[in-house]
Amino acid sequence: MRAVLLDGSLVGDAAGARVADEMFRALRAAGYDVERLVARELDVRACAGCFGCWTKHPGECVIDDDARDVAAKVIAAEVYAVVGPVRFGTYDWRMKRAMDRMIGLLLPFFTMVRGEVHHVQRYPRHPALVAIGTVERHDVPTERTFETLVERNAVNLHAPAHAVSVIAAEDDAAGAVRAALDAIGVRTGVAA
Amino acid sequence: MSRALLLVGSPKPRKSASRAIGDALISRLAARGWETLAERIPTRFDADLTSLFDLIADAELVVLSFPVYVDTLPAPVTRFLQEWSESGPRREGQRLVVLVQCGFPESAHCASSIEVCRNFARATALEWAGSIALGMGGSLGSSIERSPFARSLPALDAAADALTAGVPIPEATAESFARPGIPKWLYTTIGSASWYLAARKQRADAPLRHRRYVQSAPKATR
Repeated sequence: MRAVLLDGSLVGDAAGARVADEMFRALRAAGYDVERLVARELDVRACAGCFGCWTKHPGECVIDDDARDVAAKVIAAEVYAVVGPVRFGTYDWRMKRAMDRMIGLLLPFFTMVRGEVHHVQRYPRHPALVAIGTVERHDVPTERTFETLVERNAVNLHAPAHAVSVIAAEDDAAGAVRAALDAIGVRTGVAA
Repeated sequence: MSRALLLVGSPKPRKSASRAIGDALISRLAARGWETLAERIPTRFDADLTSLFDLIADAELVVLSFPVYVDTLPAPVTRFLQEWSESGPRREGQRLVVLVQCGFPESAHCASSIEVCRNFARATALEWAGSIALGMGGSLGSSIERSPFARSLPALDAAADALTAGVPIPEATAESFARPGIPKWLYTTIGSASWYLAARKQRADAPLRHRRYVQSAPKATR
């Protein structure tokens, strides 16, 4: 079993790194072969919005940088874990730049999901999505926005299961990680 | 004279749907006496934003126009908002309008992006002056006048009137743009056909449904 951890913790972000460490440990304890990708260290340019991943080089971004490797690892995994700072209800840009470059994992064609149009999945299996956002202090509107965003990501990425949680520095990171993994069916062996 | 600054968050260097809807709004503001200016948000993540912040400092109204990428703002726009919040200018009474468009038929796909911008405005003490969300961005082309959204131009005039009067964009404007101008089935049918045409034009190196990666191992097969 494979898992990819996109670690969005920043330099000097001890609380964020602690949550990412907890996620890494919990996935390993559940028997996953975990690939940890540190977002700030990736060489990823911005999506050019050219749709070349659908029309010119179908299935892979036309820009040859680390984003290709991230996409390959995500689609090979059973679990796609995202941990990092929440900014105004969305992902920090260092994480988002890699996410923007993954639409080649989907097909350009359309299908209906829950009454809305979405893209068709390219692969027979997509990973479950678990997202833990970190904040300096709790803020309800920001957290609601992030939760909705992750739910929409799960639909658009055809994730078979998803879980999302937002935690502040003083919260129980290990507990939040276990609860989120339990919610997508990953047995961590410890009661949440 | 009041100054309005259009910031375009599309990565496309020239024509884009984000630029088209933004131009349509600021041209209407110009016709009402505003001094207007348009700039692109840099797509390089190491780009210096100082000159952009100088322009923001001089504007009473900032119009932010961008496409939805993976259910929210594109990474360069996110970086720009983060930098603005942390080290950008603060101007009392400055207002923010957001124009969001996506390639799906439903404008509901833009909702998360609008909420993110609302949260940003709150965190940065900007006055929220409303938003317009469009589905079917693929049909917008480079000119709203020649698109299915041409029927919403009177609503855009109403938006410009409201902003000039110092009030937020009316709900009726947002609702007008939220209603698809063409049936969903027609949009998706044309859209699907257009991918095949684009692939032929660009001499695709594999079938459109090609699986570039294998799922039993993490390495790419290229």
